[in-house]
Amino acid sequence: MIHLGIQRGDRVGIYLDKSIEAVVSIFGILKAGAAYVPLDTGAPVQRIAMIANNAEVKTLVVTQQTLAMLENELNNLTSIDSVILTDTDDDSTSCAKKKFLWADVLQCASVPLPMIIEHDLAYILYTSGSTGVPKGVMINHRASLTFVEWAYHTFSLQPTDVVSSHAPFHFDLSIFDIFATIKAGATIVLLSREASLFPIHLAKLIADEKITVWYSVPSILTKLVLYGKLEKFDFSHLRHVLFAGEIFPVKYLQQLIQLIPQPHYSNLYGPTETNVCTYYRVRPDELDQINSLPIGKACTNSDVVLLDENDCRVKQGEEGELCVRGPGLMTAYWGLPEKTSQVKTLVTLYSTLGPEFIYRTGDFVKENKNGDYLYIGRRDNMVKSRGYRIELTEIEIVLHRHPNVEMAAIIAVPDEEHSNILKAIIVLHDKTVESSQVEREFKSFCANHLPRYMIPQIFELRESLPQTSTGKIDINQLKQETL
Amino acid sequence: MTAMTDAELETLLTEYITKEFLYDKPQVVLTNDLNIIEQRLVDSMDIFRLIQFIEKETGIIWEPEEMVQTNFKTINAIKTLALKKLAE
Repeated sequence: MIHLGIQRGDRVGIYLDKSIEAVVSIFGILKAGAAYVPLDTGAPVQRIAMIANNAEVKTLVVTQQTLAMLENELNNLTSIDSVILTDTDDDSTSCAKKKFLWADVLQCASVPLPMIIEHDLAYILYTSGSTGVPKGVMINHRASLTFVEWAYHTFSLQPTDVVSSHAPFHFDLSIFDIFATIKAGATIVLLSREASLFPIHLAKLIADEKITVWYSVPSILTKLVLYGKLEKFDFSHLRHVLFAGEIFPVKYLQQLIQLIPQPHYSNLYGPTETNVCTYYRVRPDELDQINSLPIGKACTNSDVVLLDENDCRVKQGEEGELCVRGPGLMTAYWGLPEKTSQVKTLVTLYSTLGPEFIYRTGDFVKENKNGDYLYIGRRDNMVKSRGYRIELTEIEIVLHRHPNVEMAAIIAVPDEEHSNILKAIIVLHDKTVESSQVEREFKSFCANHLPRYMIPQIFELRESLPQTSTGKIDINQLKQETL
Repeated sequence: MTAMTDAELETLLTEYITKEFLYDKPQVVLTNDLNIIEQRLVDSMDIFRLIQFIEKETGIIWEPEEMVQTNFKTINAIKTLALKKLAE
């Protein structure tokens, strides 16, 4: 990377499917003092271009296929001056930018590495943004290591461990998979997207690879319970099953524990902006008495407090916004100082320490009598689906760009297997159009701007939408009508 | 279970896959032999929607052992197994 002109603080995009080349790229970029920006190969090209432009990516690591996908956008991506092609030795691939081949990169002589410090940026992970544009969460080495150190110690990772890498690299669950595994000198098993399609196949993989530490969103575990025929396989190697990203319905967790009783089960909680800030080690004998799985207690080196609207701590048992203090917090949203200041603010929690930065998660939480936090809900328009964070407003903004949309609202319909299914309720300018005609049109329109997991599955046309006294769309009324 | 001919099932599957999974891929020509998994036309949620759709429309109950790539990779593969189950 240094030979290619990458310098400390530069951003390098990784536009690869999960692969050994992607892992090598991550470490090469970090060693060069740069930050990696993982790009979803399944996302619309326009969104990838928007992210690459936003992060001012200097170099892009690609395959011939992903390079071809970006071909029409490449000239507009002015920050990019070079690409690294990982899957060909053929120098003739045409490209509008400087081009380096993987074999040449690997043969570069060693050079002294920059002396980066913990405040240097390690990576930027993009999440759904309520303004219609994805937000880049900047994580520095210190924040990442705070989480990695905690995870490494808490789950006693050993060189003999075999850790699953189920989440894609643009998803923050991958930080555990990559870095906690490497820290332990353990083995990482990279699971492709296809590996998750059929639960029975995934179950066999977990058994055959003798995976000892599993980490994924709960919906994958639910699928394994329902369709994985888990009783047919040997999971005796599993030591830990970790899950994060959404609520795991207790009944499926109980069924999973019945089928695979010996591992420790842990619920990890934390928005990308905080890595993981609380966790709950499941006590199977208590599950009968609870309706919803706690998110547990603060992780080492993270201070978690529940604040009311005046930034005062709530009493035990009362609801408050979960706020986090400590070195695990993001630096900022890339290029969005205003957005950053809405969620990362100076608050005096301890008079002797004076004002300090806290991150406001927007999650409402209360503490139970065991000192475990319980998730109650959100104050805004954000939902989770298959672990992905989705700002419903971002989808509405995209729909409003369609010339025939007069009004649009998105409702998240709870679904036990997928946590939420998205439903769009739309009022058209041209009301003569039939709903059977518009669904494909709108899905296709959304697909130009949004990743697949953000595209509503259901579209409903209405003559009008209910409104509040202030003239806003009455989402609560719509929810009541829909759910 | 709902009695269904080969042609009816083919139409049902083609229409559903086109409507639900190909809306963002106008360049894709869906044929009975197109491998929808290798071509990355479906993700893990899509596969389950497809499986549940067929259950709902035909009354077939899929066994977990049947939910494998070989049986769902093409329209022909889905049809073969579905028609066999409908005939049972």
